[in-house]
Amino acid sequence: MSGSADSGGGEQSKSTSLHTVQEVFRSVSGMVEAVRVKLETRGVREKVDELAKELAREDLWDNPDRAGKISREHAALADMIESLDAFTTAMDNAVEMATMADEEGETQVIADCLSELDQIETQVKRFHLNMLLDHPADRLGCIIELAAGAGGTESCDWTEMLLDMYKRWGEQSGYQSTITDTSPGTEAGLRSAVLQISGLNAYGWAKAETGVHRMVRISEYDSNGRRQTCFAQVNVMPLMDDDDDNFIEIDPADLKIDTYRASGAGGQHVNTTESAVRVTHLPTGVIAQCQAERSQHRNKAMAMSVLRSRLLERKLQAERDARREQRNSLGDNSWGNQIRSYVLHPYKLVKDHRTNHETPQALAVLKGEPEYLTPFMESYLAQTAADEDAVQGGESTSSA
Amino acid sequence: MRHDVPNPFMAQCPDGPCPGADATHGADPIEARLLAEFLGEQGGADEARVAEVLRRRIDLDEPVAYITGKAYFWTLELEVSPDVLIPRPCSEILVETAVGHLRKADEPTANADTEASQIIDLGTGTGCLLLAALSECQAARGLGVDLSPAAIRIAARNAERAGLQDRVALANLDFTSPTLAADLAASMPLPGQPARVLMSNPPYITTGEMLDLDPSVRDHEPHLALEGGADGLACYRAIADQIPSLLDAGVLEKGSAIVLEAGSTQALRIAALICEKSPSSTVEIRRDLSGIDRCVKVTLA
Repeated sequence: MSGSADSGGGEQSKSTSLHTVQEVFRSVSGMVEAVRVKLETRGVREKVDELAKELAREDLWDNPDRAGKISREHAALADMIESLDAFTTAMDNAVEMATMADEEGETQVIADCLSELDQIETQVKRFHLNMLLDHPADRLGCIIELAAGAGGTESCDWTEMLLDMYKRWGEQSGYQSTITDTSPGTEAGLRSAVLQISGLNAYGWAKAETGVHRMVRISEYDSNGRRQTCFAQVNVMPLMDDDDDNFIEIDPADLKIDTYRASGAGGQHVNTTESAVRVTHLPTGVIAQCQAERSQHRNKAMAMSVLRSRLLERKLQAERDARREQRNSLGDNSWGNQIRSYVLHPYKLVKDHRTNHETPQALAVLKGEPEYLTPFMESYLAQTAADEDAVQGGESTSSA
Repeated sequence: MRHDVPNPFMAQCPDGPCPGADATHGADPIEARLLAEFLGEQGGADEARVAEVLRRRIDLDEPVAYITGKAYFWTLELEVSPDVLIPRPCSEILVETAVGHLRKADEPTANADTEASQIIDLGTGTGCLLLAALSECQAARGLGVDLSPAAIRIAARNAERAGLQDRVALANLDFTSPTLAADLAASMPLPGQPARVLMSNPPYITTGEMLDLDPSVRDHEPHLALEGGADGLACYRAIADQIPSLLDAGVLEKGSAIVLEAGSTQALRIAALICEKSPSSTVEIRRDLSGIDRCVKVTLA
């Protein structure tokens, strides 16, 4: 909180409190205005009017699926505009109340107004970030793939810690987290793992996590107790519903589906538990395989789902690369780049190398507490958006 | 999967597929997981229990499914015992083929979902083929046939387990018997209505191959479900011989499909056997995911 009431104060401190209220008001109003301008430039208001016209048509419910989609989209957009108006009204009320309270000398009321404004500020920030998740794929769930880097058992242990961090983050953020595959390390930990997080915007948030994560600590596995550095790779992909072909279409003729340890006659001649399946998308060479499920039928379905995610992520990455070339600024978070360090020794610090966001609450981050982990994602989203705006702003200046 | 529980069997196989993870000593990570889960369900992995499981699996070469008493097929978890053949993943192509035929047959009718079609499964064993197909076709009913009374009891429990007992009939009879048509007609769940699909995974290993089989198959699985005579085709001949009488008795009709599993080199010979008795029928041979010609579908005409 940016200010607190001084109950024993005189004239001086009263007006200081009011002054603080007005300052916070100005800063939050600025944010609301910025968001409003963004909504305007994106034509959200026009879009709402357009959808309202669609909703009014008599033949709307001839196609219930489409009608449902339109009415949901309309509700979501109209809700955005209403929320912004509600923020403005609430802020105006708070300032008015504080001004009156100042005249009456009621410092407690001023303090309440200030905390009200602080709450609105948090909501506006969250609103702004949710607005950043504007790509159609952002609303999807996600698959998080983790792989231990070089460094043996140490890296495997780190990979398991990251898996646990994201699993808890998902659960505590109101999502559903499911570990769909793990392959154990030689002594401890995991060589690789796959986590599925379902729920609205899970991909939009978690996509910020793709890249190499580095851990620095005193090793539990080193008998000399030396400081160790190890790495794990994180790859985040969108998770589509089976019947959702809005994002990517796959021609069955382009697929090769096989088992990846096929040999011999098979059939009645052998009775192994082997039921792993591999799916290859021939035009791109993208491969997905699954052995976590118990039957071949299930492994095939899971491999198909992973393949769809891989192909969509590939498409989205190509879009991002094209935009990055245009703005040529924000650090590359593609496979292979170190994006974040988690230092547990000699001091505690988690630092993101793309945004410079950091916190000393390393253990809370590793427990996946959204209060500490989500801000890393937020700062990435905010910076990406700021860079995009800079490009757009630059364009409009040069064209003017 | 429970990745947090130390797995006593992983030491067998530290890094993915171990060198010995072939058909003879398949201590692969999936086996290790299934065995560890089995011990967990049985109340813990103390040293004596682990030793006993390892002895059965490694020294006696007992298949994992017989140790755990469970097998997985399609979307189903099935009870198994040495009285029945362990379901093989490659047999799932028969389910796909049968379900494909049932759905195609249903297409012309407007109320496809309420129209009940019938499936017959010869040599049903665990019931895996029949139950998987029925689980995909909400209105279909099925008849499973097996010579082994023990197999019939297991198939009945598996039908209960899958919640399909109301749509399944089981009959303890010999499908190579000359009275097959009458026997089936008397046991069908929808009497007087021909079956859309007749499926079977009959024994197809030749008598000569039996001796050289993997010990986990040869020494533990029922020979009744494995051995198909000198050329492995004895049961296919028996089925082919019955086709005219099955049509006469109204157990099958024109447009019904016969869907059979085949050994890796047998598909064409099986197709020829069936077509000899039903010359104008159409044949389709489908591969399993290992690329082997595994499924022969003959549509009767």
